[in-house]
Amino acid sequence: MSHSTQWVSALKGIIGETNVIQDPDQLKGYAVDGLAPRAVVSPGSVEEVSKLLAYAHSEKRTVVPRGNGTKMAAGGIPGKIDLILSMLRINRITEHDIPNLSLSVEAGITLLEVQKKLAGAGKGSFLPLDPPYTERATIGGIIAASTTTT
Amino acid sequence: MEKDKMISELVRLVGKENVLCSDMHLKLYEYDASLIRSKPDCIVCPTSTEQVSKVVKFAHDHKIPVIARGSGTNLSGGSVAVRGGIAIVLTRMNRILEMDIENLRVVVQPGVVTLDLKNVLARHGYLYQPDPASEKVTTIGGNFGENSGGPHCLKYGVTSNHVLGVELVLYDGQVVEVGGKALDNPGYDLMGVLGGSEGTLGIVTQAVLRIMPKAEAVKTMLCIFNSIEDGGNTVTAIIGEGIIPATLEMMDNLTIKAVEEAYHVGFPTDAAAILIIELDGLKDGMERLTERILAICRQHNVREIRVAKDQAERDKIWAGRKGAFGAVGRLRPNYLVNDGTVPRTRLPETLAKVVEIGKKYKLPIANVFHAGDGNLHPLILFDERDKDELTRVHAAAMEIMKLCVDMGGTISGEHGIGVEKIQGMSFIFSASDIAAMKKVKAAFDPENMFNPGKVLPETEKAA
Repeated sequence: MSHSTQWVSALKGIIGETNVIQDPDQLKGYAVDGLAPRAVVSPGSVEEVSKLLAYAHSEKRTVVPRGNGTKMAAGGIPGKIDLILSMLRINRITEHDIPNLSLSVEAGITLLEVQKKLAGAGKGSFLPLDPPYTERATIGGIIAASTTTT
Repeated sequence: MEKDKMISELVRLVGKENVLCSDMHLKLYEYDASLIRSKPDCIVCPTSTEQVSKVVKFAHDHKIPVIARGSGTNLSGGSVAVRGGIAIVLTRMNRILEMDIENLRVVVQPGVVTLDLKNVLARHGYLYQPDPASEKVTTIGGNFGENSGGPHCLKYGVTSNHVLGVELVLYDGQVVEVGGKALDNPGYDLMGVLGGSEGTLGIVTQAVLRIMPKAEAVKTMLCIFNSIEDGGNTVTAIIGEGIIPATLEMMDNLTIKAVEEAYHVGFPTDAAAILIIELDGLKDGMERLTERILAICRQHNVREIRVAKDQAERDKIWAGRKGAFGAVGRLRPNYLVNDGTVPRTRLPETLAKVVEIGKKYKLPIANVFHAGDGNLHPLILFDERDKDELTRVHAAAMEIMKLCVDMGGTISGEHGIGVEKIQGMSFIFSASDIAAMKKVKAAFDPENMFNPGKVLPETEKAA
């Protein structure tokens, strides 16, 4: 096993085989301006993200976080992508305090899910954001790109 | 560096008229509105960005601490020179540089007094929203450094929500632009880092502020309650109804009495709590909204409601609120203002515990607070000449801070951390959280010369 695949195997050890994509055809779907990653990892908890980043750091691997990829047309072109960190499995609402008008969510939840939840609770409320692709854009992606409207 | 040499160098850089170094001057600049005292070695009052840059570069070259300061109204020791050094007082840089009314922006120097700016804007029908109680004397630079709030921040947000860009002098004297006139500037959001950084990262020499047109209609109500709980529950109920008034201010009985004795604004001295509710916005719908709020007050056993009929009556109500700290100051020789925030829904419960803390330490505590934000200001009254009492004051203050954290809140709402609350940082941040902030500090100020000893604890004690 070459060193280049060894580190990918180590990723599987951290988050389980089913959460690591290595198939070249699938990886093409994650390419940024034609640049495909070596692997896509989908951690299921903040702790797993922390472990993955610590490992990538020790191996000097570049990491690009990703939600649903709705902002692929924006931003710069990365020089090198070893790892795409998909946040889609980290998508819980962790706290919803209606009387104090606050909500805590994880990065991978879509804005649509948030809006549905807010509309149905109490007297109904909403997050005053309307970026493009509301149904698919994740909260993490919206914050990272500071998207407003197009 | 020898003091005489330092002074002669500073005189060379900014002129004799801008350097203060007599014993009397040092004494005058040794304090802010907290209990902390410490003299700077010298005071410099620059009149331009260039002078600030030169002084900072000089201090950097000679490893002298520098502390930026406005009017010194800050409440947690943020502008006290705890390690000596040069106090850079920015009150002489007090010009409004640009009024871009159509684009809702103004550009000011840091020493502009907040209320002076508002008065100028009022002539054009516009306003700058942040309204710290000390706005008559505080400066914009100081407001940004401490990220000051005020009654209207319930609806409009704190100072950093209204400062869009700054000109900043870096540790080596370089001058950079951060942010700008746009709402969302490209690149890293350094404005977010600078707001409330208490002069520990750089010195602001110019600021771009967001202004707004004056509201078409304003309605101010004074609601009187026989119990604190009813007042607190009214606040929660109003917000729960989906109404965000411009202000939701509360005062307890001790404060009401002090204000009435000092200003005679007509507050009933036997009331347990007063709520000042102000609505602003369009004329249409204002009456209906007022009626909804009054109905909520009645559901919560309000004793009396007074709706201000005109500007004069409105001013009277606000004079009582804005003068509250001063009025309470008449009761005992000293007071310590605490500033904690709890989730709004836990306000009545927290207040009951603050009363218990007062009893435990045998100290009178007056409460004035931005109830809508869950932001408490317990004022602990004492006499600093009584050493035993002073010890109890500090213990009580720490316990109130801890209480706010236990209630799901935090150790500051708008008064900053300074020196006073530095130990409280470990109540809310882990050692790694604080270490991350220290990396920001080190990036801006590698030699720890900007306001050393503030905001971040020296050792990273885990929560």
